[in-house]
Amino acid sequence: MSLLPKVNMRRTFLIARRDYIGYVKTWGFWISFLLPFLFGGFGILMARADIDLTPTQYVTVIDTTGEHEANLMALDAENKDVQAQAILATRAYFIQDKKKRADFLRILRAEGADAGQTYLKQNIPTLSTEFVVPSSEFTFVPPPARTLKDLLPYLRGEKMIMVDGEPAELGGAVIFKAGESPERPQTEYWSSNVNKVDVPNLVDHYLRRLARVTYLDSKGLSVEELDRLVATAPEAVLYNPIKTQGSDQGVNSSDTVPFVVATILAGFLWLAIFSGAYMLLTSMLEEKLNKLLEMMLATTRFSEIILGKLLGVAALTLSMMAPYIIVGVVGVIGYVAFGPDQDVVKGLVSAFSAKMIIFLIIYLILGYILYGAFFIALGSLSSSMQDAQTLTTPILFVLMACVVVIPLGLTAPDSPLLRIATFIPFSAPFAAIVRLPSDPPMWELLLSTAFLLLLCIGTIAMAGRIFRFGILSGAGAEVVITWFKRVVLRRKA
Amino acid sequence: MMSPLALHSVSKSFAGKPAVTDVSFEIEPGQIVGFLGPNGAGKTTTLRMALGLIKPDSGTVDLFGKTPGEDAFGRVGFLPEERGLYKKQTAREAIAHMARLNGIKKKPAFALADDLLDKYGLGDAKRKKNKDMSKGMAQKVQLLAAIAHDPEFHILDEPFSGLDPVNQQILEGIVREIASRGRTIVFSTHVMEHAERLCDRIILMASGRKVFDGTTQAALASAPRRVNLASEAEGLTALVTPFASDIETRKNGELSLILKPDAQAHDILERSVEQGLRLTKYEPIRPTLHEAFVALVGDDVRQDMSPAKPEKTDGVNA
Repeated sequence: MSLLPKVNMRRTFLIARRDYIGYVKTWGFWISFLLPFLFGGFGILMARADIDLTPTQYVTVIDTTGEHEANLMALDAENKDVQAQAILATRAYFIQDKKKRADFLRILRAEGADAGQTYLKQNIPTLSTEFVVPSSEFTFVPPPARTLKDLLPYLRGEKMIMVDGEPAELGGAVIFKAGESPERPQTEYWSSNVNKVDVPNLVDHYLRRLARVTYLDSKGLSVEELDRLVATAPEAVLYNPIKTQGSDQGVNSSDTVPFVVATILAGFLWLAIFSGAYMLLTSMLEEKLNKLLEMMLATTRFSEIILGKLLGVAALTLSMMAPYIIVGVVGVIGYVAFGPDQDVVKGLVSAFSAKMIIFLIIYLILGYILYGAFFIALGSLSSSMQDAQTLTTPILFVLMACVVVIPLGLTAPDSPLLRIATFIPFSAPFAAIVRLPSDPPMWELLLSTAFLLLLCIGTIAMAGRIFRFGILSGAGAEVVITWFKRVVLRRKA
Repeated sequence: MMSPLALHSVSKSFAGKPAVTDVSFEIEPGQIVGFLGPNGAGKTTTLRMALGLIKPDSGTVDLFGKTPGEDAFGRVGFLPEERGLYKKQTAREAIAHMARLNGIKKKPAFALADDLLDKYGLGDAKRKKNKDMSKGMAQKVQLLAAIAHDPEFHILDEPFSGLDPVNQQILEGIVREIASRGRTIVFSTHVMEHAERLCDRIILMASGRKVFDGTTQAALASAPRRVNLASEAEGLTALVTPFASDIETRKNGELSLILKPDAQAHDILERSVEQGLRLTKYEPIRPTLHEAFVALVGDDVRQDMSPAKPEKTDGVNA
């Protein structure tokens, strides 16, 4: 007796094709398929149109002490420079020369965004595209009145200020008054927009800093010197004692990229299995509600219907994910071919090893079959969406619990939990993939695959029986509950 | 020719409750067989066992001489009791899909679908989605999908249910047309008129048992024979009493009587002539299959309630 059921591939293909086309013809499929393109296009359009979604808020300062206005604005300019530095720092990824990259980052941190940009222009002209500091969410303007009473009509929108010859609304006013001491001024912020907190945050930052500077000054210390020392402090160098490639055991992108890639791939695997299995459930339910299965069974084997559905929905899931897969594959190939950072290139090549690709395919297929067979069986027992939701809740919990192991691959690839999860068939696909970059023993991977394969065979056999029973009866959740009460709880249903 | 279907002492229970008990019959090639019985009689379970969709607890089924399965694929056209179509498929896609599952190639399958839809008056609905069709149209499309591959043997489970009288007549036409090509048809129904008009043979089920298997004429013979009589003279009741098992007097004075098993309607006519009783009405009523059904099933149900009841079977193939 053959372990696997007999299958006529032509009929199986026809069932798979019908399921695939049935879904492809729906609006939902095309919305999902085109969503990344629509979002991408919308993003490009917005960038091209240069539409400012958050118009600049105009804020004024009335400083009755005469000591804080200039300092507050200097702090604002400093913050904006830090923001510009962070954006400019991303260009370091495109500098191939390690020394130049280090110099650029050092100058950027120590001397600011302008100095960093000048360095790029002089030393790496290919990267020195004009850098425009993103527009600020607020801008300081001269006060249209000197007292709060006179300012209130502007703040209420009854009067407008003039900015570059155009009328504009005054969004807020910072008022410094003399306090208990010069470094502890009484400070107020007036604005009708109570949810916009960037100016209050700046003021708060300013007051904390003022207290710090005053204290350091009182002790004869310079805050500028402290800031310079913090900015130029040496950085710890990471080494990996088990790294054997080359003489340098220092950790770089080539060591970390495989872990990041494995985490992303495990996430993709989870998403593919989850969405595929859920589509199988709805497809099965639709089939049951359409009441066509019984007619098909006069001419088709149960196994052909199950396999046809598994294949049809698998093709559908891959089609829905195709935009993301294509972007990912093109991105990786593009970076490997033309990417400037050779450490990242090395990391990508190592991440997409033959072992990773083979096990990814194996776990994708087996994981999909395992969960898919469960969902087909439960779908065939359901007679409504409510039934389906009730019956699939436990297996959905299991699938959700598996998400927990994925981030462990990045932060704790040697976690015992991850190792145990590798041998539990429900979590094996995700746990094994995230462990691959840390090179687990091959016997562990093979044993994990064998357990998963055995459970798949058992699940298919069980799903076939449930499917046979479910579609020929008016079964629903109550059938399962009755069975549970009778067999497990040994109660009279 | 080989019998398309034979059931040998087939029984099936669900959760300990018998659904079909010791049913045997053999379908002859080219016959139209009506599979009759009230709801819950075991018709659908029997037909599902005939197709191998469910396995009998005991007994055997031969479909084209073999255990139901792969060998019969493409040779049977099955219309189940529960109706449905893929809502987003068009009528021609639905028919072609089933034809292709039955082994017909893509182009001929679609050509066949178009021909069938034209032939049975659904030409305008070819590209109409199933969800936009009326119930009657969708039911006809499903029937055409079941028979498109021109199988040797058709099993139609309640094909007339849910159809209006016009569509029922059209469906009767389709069944006759299939039979005219020498195909074998088994259809279940609880509407006696269809069986009466269409069937060569009737199998009657009640409470999971076969209670009758034979020709329509044999079934009708089981029905009570009625005669309606009227006379302006006195003594009609006394005259008919020896021949009647039951006499009902109607408001207008007419008598409606059920004949005793050994009595004939013409015996009453002869006696009235002998006694000089002038009849103003003499109307022997043709028994209907419905009456036969009620008589047979009612009797069976009564017997079912008593212990150790021997199964009653009548007719040529019992």
